[in-house]
Amino acid sequence: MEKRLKLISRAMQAGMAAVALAGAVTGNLTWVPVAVISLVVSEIPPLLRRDLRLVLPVELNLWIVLALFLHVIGGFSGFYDNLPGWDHLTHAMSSSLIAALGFVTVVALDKYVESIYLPGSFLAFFIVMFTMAMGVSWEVMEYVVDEVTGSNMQYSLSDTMVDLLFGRLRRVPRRGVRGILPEAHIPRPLRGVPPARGGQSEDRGRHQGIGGSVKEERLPDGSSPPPSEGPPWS
Amino acid sequence: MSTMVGGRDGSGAEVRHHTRTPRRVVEAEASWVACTVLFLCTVYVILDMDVLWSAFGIAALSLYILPIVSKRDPFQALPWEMTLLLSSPIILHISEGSRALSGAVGWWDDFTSLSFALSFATIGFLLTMELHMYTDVRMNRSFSVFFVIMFTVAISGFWQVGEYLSDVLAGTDNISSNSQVMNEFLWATVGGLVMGFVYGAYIKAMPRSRREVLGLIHFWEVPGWKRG
Repeated sequence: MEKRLKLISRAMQAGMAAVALAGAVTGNLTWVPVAVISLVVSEIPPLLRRDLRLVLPVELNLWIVLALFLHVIGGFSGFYDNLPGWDHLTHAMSSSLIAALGFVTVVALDKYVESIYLPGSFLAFFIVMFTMAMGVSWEVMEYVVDEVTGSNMQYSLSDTMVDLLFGRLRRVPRRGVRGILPEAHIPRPLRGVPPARGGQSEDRGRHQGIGGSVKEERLPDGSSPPPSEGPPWS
Repeated sequence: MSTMVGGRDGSGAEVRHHTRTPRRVVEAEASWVACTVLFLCTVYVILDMDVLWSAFGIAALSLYILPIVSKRDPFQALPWEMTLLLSSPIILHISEGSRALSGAVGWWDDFTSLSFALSFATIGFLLTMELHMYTDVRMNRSFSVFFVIMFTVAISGFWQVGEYLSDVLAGTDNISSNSQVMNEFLWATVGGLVMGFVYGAYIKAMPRSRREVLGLIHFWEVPGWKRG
């Protein structure tokens, strides 16, 4: 069963690569970067853990692939100019891709990096902020490209603002997703430790950097490793 | 059983934080002065019925007050330099001198935009700090640097959308052109990037003696950080 799920995950990664390839072949060059970024995000666990055998859980991969295909369908054929409102629809779809990528990234960080713990409500907040930040960066990118090449991607102020708004409104339902992803919450000694016990087990969570902290593992018998030292000034 | 020992260790550290060494008093007094500036500015913008800026001032003040109230200890104040950074854009916003300079000096508007970004980055950093103090959220340093950058850019986006909506709905005159907004965004990105890394270095570089005095910014290194 687990093997099959892994295979499905790999198949979906192949789908992302296919989108990148199709974009390059058919001249839809905007697909290529997003597909490549999607692939990179789906490769986060092996990158973090330095272990190529790891794959992202199927549901997270599915999430990316769905958003990616929605984005591709949204960008299909130049309806931009002849269909009113199409622009907002594609913006909503692309921003759902960005939100998906942000979501998968933080869930993966939460899951695979020992010193990071992000509870559900914080995740929702984070994704709203992330999507907005990406929207802003996107608009700035459009503006800079317009300034440099003299193209006309940004029509007007109200256009920019409505783009940002539409990007943002999509994100609200994402809050519920955390609930259907119990697997993303792996129990580990770091989690939910009440403050009183902090002195012993929390030093595992203190900052080590990504590379440093993942090396700390539970002992074979499931207990936490012994504390290395007390507070520095005790 | 070992957990009991941990708890006792922690409470010992807590007692130490409540002693009032002269240095701690000086730190807290500098911080209170900086906070008074912030408070007066906030009162001014509230009396001025400036909704967005009042929201900013109130948010900053509540982040300032939260540790003081929750610890019931007025000496549990934020570092004064962070408080000053927090109040800088609001001062620049309300001061007449700044308005005159904005007409006379070409780069003055960029400067105010930048100081705005710096203070939002500061709010982002305070948020990471207080999330660590009061919730289960944990970030490591690189993630919190990223969070500060992202927070600054995103808040600047929300802010501009808010100004735009108030222009459209309430007929105010905040935004004159698209390029003005883009300018604001660019400075927010620059300020966020700079402050993200500055705060990363700040936590790392602050001497232990001062961290101990402040009793706030030590969650990265100390196991029992949750007790502040």
